Amino acid sequence: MRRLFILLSLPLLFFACRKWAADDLDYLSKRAVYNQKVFAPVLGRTTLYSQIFNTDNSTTPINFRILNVRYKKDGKPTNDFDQKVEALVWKSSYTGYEKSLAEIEAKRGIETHSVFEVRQQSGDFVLWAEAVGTAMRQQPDSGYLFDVEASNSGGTNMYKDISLMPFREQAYAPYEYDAITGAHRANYPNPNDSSVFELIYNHPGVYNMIDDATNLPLKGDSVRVFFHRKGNGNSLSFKFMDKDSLPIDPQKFNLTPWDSILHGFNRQMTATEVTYEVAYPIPAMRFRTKYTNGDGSQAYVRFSFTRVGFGNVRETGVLDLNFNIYQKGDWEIIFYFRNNPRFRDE
Amino acid sequence: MQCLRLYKMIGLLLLLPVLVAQAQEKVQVKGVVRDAQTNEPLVGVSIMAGTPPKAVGVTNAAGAFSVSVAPDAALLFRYIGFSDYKFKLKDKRDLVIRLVVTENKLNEAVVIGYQKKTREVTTGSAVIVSGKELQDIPVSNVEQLLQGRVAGLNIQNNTGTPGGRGIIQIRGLSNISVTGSGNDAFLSPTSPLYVIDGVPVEADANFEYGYQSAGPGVSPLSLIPPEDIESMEILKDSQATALYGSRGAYGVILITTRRGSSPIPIVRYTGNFFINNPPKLRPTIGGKEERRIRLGMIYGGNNMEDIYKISNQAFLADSLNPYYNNSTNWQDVFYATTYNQTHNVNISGGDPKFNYKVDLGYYHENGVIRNTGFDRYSINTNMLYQPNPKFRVFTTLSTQVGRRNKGDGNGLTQSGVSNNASASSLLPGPSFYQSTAGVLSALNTRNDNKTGNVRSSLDVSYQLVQGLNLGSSVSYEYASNTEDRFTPAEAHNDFSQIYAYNDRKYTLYNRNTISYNYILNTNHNFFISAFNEFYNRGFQAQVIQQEKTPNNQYEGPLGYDGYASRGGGLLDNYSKQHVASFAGTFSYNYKQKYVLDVSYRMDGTSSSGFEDPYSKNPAIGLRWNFNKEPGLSDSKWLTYGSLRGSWGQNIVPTGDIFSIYGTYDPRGTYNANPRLGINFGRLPNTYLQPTATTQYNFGFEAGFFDSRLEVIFDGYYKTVKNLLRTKSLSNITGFNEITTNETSLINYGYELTFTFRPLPRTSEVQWTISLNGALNKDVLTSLPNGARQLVQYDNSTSQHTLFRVGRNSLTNYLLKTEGVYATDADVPVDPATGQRFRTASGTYFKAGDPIWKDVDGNYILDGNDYVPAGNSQPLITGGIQSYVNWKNFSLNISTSFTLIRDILNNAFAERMQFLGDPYNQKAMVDFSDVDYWKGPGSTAKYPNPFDYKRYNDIRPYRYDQTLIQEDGSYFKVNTVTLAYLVNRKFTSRYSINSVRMYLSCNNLITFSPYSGPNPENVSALGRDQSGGYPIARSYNFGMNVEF
Repeated sequence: MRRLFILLSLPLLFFACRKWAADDLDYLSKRAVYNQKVFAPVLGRTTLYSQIFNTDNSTTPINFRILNVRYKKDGKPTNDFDQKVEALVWKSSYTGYEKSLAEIEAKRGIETHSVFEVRQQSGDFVLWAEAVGTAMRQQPDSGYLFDVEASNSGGTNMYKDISLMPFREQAYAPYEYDAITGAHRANYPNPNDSSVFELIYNHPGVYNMIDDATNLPLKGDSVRVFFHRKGNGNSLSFKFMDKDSLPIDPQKFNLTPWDSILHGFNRQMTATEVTYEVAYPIPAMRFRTKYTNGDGSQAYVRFSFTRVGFGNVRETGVLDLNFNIYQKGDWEIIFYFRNNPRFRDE
Repeated sequence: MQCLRLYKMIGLLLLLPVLVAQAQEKVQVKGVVRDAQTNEPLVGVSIMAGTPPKAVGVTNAAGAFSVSVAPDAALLFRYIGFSDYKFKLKDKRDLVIRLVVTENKLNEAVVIGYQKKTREVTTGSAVIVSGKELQDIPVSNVEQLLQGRVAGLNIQNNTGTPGGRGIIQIRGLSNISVTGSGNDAFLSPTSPLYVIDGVPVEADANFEYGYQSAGPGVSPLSLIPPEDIESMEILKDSQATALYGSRGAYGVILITTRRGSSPIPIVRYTGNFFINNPPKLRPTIGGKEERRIRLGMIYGGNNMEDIYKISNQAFLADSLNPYYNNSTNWQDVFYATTYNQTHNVNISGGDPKFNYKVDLGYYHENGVIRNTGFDRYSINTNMLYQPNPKFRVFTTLSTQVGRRNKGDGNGLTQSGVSNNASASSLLPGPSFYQSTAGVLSALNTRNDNKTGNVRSSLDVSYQLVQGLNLGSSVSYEYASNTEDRFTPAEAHNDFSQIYAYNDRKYTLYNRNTISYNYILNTNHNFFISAFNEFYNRGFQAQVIQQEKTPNNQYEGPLGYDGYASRGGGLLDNYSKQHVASFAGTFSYNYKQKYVLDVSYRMDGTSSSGFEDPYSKNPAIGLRWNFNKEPGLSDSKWLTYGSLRGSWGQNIVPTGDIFSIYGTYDPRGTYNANPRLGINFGRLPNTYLQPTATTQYNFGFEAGFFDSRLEVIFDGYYKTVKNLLRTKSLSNITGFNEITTNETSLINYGYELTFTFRPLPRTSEVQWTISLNGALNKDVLTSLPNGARQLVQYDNSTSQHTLFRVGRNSLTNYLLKTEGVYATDADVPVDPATGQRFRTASGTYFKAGDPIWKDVDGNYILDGNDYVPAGNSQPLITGGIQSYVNWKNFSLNISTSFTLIRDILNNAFAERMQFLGDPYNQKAMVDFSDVDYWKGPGSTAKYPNPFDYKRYNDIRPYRYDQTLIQEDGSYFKVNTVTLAYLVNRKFTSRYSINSVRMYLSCNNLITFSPYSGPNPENVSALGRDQSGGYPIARSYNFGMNVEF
């Protein structure tokens, strides 16, 4: 009897056994690739390379890891990527409607990060702005090579010899210095003669202004823009100078809505300059607000004045500029008029 | 053993003097024998007396008997199909004996591999459903009544279309080929093979092409009147189906129709009158309220441009215009309660030497959607002639005509109706001057769709010498489908349309058998047989389609005109197939205790690659009836018990000649010579194999306490291999794609059936409860090119299907919804860039939007965020049946359940999507019970449906998300029947043998956590499409009258 029951239960055990089938593993395509293999970010800016990994329908999430970081020049291994920095990160989103500097700062926090890292699940690369303070090699150095390992339970892929070649810091944009050498950029009309050259300057947009001296319309290149960092605070001043380098009173741009040209606070207006407390970088992030250009990539300022022109026609003179400032500090933006504009009525 | 025999001998010797003594004085005993259940007199019951029992008489035509026996003799009444009744004669001389139908699964006769066996010597897994259980409910397709009755037979009656057909699977999924997209995504059906009176019938006919099927779409099964069915037998494992091998891989269902058995001809009339009620319709917001909500949404959007747009939308602005000032209940226009009837007359008679049956059936059902319906006319006859025990001829002839009205839908869905039934209530109701031609099209399209079916068979067998039989069987089936559709001009852009379809299909089938039966020493039983089998099948369809008849009165004849013709001609689904099979089988049993079955067959099909056309399919089965072991054979509690195990392989031909031989195309002429060129679309695969299943099965059967408790348990492991799948080829081959056999999957599971009779056999109330359940899991095991994963993209609803090795075969591939953002601050922000979570096109998420899991963590909603979610196939299916009989009353309840299955509630998503566009003239369904986001800070299950400005960017109610995936478990009370048998004394006065009346209800109630209308009314892929045909509830009054 007992033997019988044992016999009866044996096949049950057999069927209770594990299925004879493959495990349910993730899928990692062998054809999943990085679409981009050379990265040349500019130091001093938090740069995210997003959506660069084509998963080829692999199962997400995939775990990514940077391995084998080395100098491209001599292949020697380095720990440069592992240097830790206190990075400024966003905690909640910037809207452009913040009422004070503190409100913007409350949306950001400090986190410790490696200067250059891969996001563990998306494969995105991040170069933190604070990397500028570390010993990262920068062009013209050939930079770094590294490998990335992507894995999930379905396997592991190695992506070899991805290259990082950071550019030196460019604290603001538009930037008139060479990205690699740092020398003032210039045009050479005669390619064979380097002694004859013409330096490149930044120019704002200039519209409907009259040259006080010649009565002719003021051209765009008769105004130069200089970015000048004078301290370590967080302010931004606008200055206007005439051809004799004497300050022009900002009030002369009498149509300018001074409180809303910039997402700045605590405006200080003097006869020589107008100063705001601002959150750096400017714009705080790439997001379209009323202080930015159309895609939110650059801040946009616009100064204007009105006067009665020739023939009793009212004319509106406009000076505008798209710019970024990446480095925190007390910055001045100086508009230097090489020909004085006419503010007075005719 | 020797000792045992000796004891018996001694026992016999001891009994002998008693017998002699009894033979001396005798008394006359008379009485009548009746069926305990129906009270019918039983004719030909043998009456035995004494020990050992010796026949002393039989009952006559009135069930009466008169025998002379010893005064205290033990009488034994024995009748086939009934339990023996033992009776100790005392001083009673006038007896009324009631015999009870044997309810013991072991004694059922099963037909396996074209031969009849008792269950005791069957090694395969088979279940019998008596025709009686299927006959009190009028349905167009008898298959749907099998739901919940057989463990492992998963039936989902997912369409209410009269004459249509649900999904049927034996032991899980056998195919993963999905055609079409969106709501019309169609899983190729893998119906079991039906064998009607020995003739194989293709049940999937007319459904192969899914929602694009042309023709009337009447399943051959819908043409069988349920009244004519004697029994159905479901063969599940590969040993049972081994000899139906060339098509048996998906399981086999045998249908036996009634036979004549009474020497006095019996005329049996069955009539049913039933009411079909459409299910509860969706509450809709009508009239003024609808306009108010639309305007409220637009004003709430705070966008001047949109507010101006109101004045351009007459249906919003012009509230005084009678055209737009309505509150039309569109659903009411299309759905209606209908009154239907069926009539069936069955004439049968004869004796074992010659018997016949004629069954005349009429079935009429109007669908709950107007302008749809199904009529069936059938004449089925059979005749058996057996002049002597050696020679036997059996013929059948069945002719059936199905007539079906589909409105303007196709065979399975009514998308036209659903589109129009979801029109805005502000629009005027149906009239000749119509806002939507679709309404006219749905209601006025004239259909004349007919399916004609003739099936005849001849089965002859002859016994040459004792034990050696020769048999041959031939059958021919011819089916013709025609569809004639006329769409009047006003329903089709002012031009009438004519569509005429016809197809022809034939199957010729022949089987020749030789078998030999030998019994050695009464203990060793051998059976050996060999047979061959041929199929020849063909199919051809054609279509004529023309537009612009002169007027609505003129519907033909039509000439050919290139201007009015809309194509047609021969359709490309032409097929012709030959199958030749050779098989041998060997059975052995020892005292019916140890049983061995072995079979082997070779199947060559013309749809296999010509390099290797024959597939070899062995099968083996073992059975051990352990109740016959000493020690158990005389136990009180164990009635029977056995273990069985089997392994085998079966096939189903699935390829087509184009995949094997390739295609040549006419390429015009060159130098006046016609050219033929190779079609580089598909590379021929000359090694194409039929789909094959191999299956291990283990079974346990036992009956306890005089069969009052019976248990059947089966465990199986089934591999489905050589599934067809077309894969793309590298362009260096010159061809685009090739069809290969590289896909395979497995199913494994358990099936359990309990039958329980709580009351003793002698009780006045007879009550039988049976419960069955099956658990089935499927796992995909291989994909073309050894791929581990394949995603079948769906371009219409983005509800992709994921095929991944090691997972359930059909996985939904969706965005994972994790709630709704209560406030803007809840939206995650990329720490590096400060960007909020956004779509790939750059729209930021905000409060009220759904939270979709950012699987790859890049703060962008993209294709990498899809997750495998849910299984569209049910895990557990089964049912509970209860049958109570008391005197003349009987109550029969049949229920079924499906547990753990994921349904995508597309109908709900679509309705909510309508709310996302206030300018769209679509119905506003009552959303008051939807827990949607109502303002910053509110927590809700569903996102904000009213943010119409960003609607197309975010698409909060998109189909491809787990938000609309719900558990589709349900418990359904399928049928309830209350029957009353009118007292025979009363009816016999009018020379009527019996009258039975019954009330029944079909599809009574479904209990489910699912939020949609019906968790069963979804596609095979678990998508609740709004265009589905609702399943009606029907109430029936019927009667059986027997003359």
